[in-house]
Amino acid sequence: MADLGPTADPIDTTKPHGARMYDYYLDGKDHYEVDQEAAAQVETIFPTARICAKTNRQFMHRATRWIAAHTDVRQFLDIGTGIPTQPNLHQIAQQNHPESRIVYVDNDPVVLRHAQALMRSSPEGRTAYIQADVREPDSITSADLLHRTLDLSRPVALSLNALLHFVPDTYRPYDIVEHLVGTLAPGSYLILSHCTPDFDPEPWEKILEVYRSGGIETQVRTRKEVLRFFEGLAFVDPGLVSPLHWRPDGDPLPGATDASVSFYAGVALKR
Amino acid sequence: MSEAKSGTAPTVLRIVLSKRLGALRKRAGVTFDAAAEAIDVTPVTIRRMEKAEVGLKIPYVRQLLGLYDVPAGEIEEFIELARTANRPGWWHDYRDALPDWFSVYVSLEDEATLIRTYEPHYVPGLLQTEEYARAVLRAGLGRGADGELERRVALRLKRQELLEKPGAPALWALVEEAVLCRPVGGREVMRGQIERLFQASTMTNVTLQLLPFEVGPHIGAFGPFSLFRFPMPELPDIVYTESISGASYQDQRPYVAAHLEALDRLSTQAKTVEETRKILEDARKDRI
Repeated sequence: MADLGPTADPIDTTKPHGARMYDYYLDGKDHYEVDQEAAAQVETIFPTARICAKTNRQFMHRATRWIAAHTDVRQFLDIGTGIPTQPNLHQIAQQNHPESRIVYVDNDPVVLRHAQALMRSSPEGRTAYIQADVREPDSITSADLLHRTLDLSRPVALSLNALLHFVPDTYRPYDIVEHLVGTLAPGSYLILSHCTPDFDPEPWEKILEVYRSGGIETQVRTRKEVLRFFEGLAFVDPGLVSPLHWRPDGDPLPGATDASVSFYAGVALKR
Repeated sequence: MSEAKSGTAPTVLRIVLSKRLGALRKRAGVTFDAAAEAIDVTPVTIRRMEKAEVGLKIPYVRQLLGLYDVPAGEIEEFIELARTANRPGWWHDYRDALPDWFSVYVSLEDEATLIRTYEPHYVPGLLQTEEYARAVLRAGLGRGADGELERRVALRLKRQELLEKPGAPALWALVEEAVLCRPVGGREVMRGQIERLFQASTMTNVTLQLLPFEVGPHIGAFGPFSLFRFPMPELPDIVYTESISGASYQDQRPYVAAHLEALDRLSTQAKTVEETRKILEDARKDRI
């Protein structure tokens, strides 16, 4: 990760930004004109982009709640944190276990400042923020702050939500996940969600083109390709499914179907 | 919203209801003229009601909602909310010490869930000690009456209760390092103020970042401004900017987005929360 000097400008408003586009889909207010334009363009091709983002967000809520309720894991490593949206991961984790510790990782300094300002831990637990790029996983696993915040000899829930479709194969994403999971103790969990063209192939080439023309690298993956990220891990029921069907605990959003969501989501245990 | 002139600060709830009133009119396909004719006012009055520039007169609201085919139950809910919205806020008791243009600010601050502010010259009002506030306000008032000065100090301290109340908003302040160097009220006052800033920087709902001199020229340097965000999703962020003679409140998206971008940019140029705390700690030691 480049060391940003005080005068370096981290904001390029000539290009859209993935996290801010996601904020737009989630009805947030932390995006600029350029992000809104690109996101609106995606919506003309894929009109359910908001349903997709919100359903995925709900999966993050449920998966985190499940970990907090059904396991002894009280440590979370969230990579690709994005712009804060209530409730945030640490709020869910700390709801019943205020002592939970969370490390948030994102490669964008603006996103990270938002996280630091608005995602503060309960007094009993801790949150820490690391600026690092998942494409260089070593910069995460060797970060001093990670080791000062989490005890890696004990289980951790690693969440890679809606992240790896921004990591094309050229960056060796399977090796990245293997490296990250490899750092964690047995009893750890991987929470992962990923865009897929499986349910509705037709719009995806065009959607990816919008992102790519904005300078955002992307790659969607089939079920078989997403399954590979879980290699060696034991799925929690119901396995790898649309986030809609991952332990639903309420009514789905109106209009939410496998095709309108176009995501895979799963939680798995490292034995 | 634009320039604040009227003496009655709209509460955020009134702004929301005003916007909703406009949305219901559009949904019903009723023009300004038709709505005005139905309740025997000018179209300008309808327009001003929908912009929260005037209070929501209950009989008018009732008639308009009927005209817009809103179900009876929903009308009553709306009326109940409008009554609440028309009630004066706590700051009404301080109206003698509150310039009209600033009462809007207090009302926004009171209901915001997030306040992001950039302060080039002074410690943000919500984080000032009593003595510091007195010195700053005295400079602003010139040789005004002491009575007025004390009322303004009292108002400022009253506003600060906001940060301690349940459901307190998040305050994210970007403050120029110069503020620590500008002597306000003398050595003792500054020492107390720096102590207070350090203490605030440890609060979970306060994020304080100092902008060091070494940043050089930057996008914020025109003057202080604040951005307010509210819990109601339909309510846009509102940006406040001030000048010697008054203030402006804007909620148009491009305007808001430009200020959002400036705040984001400044937040990455500023010292981090931890670095800021360290600077304050050192400053505190230097002054003992």
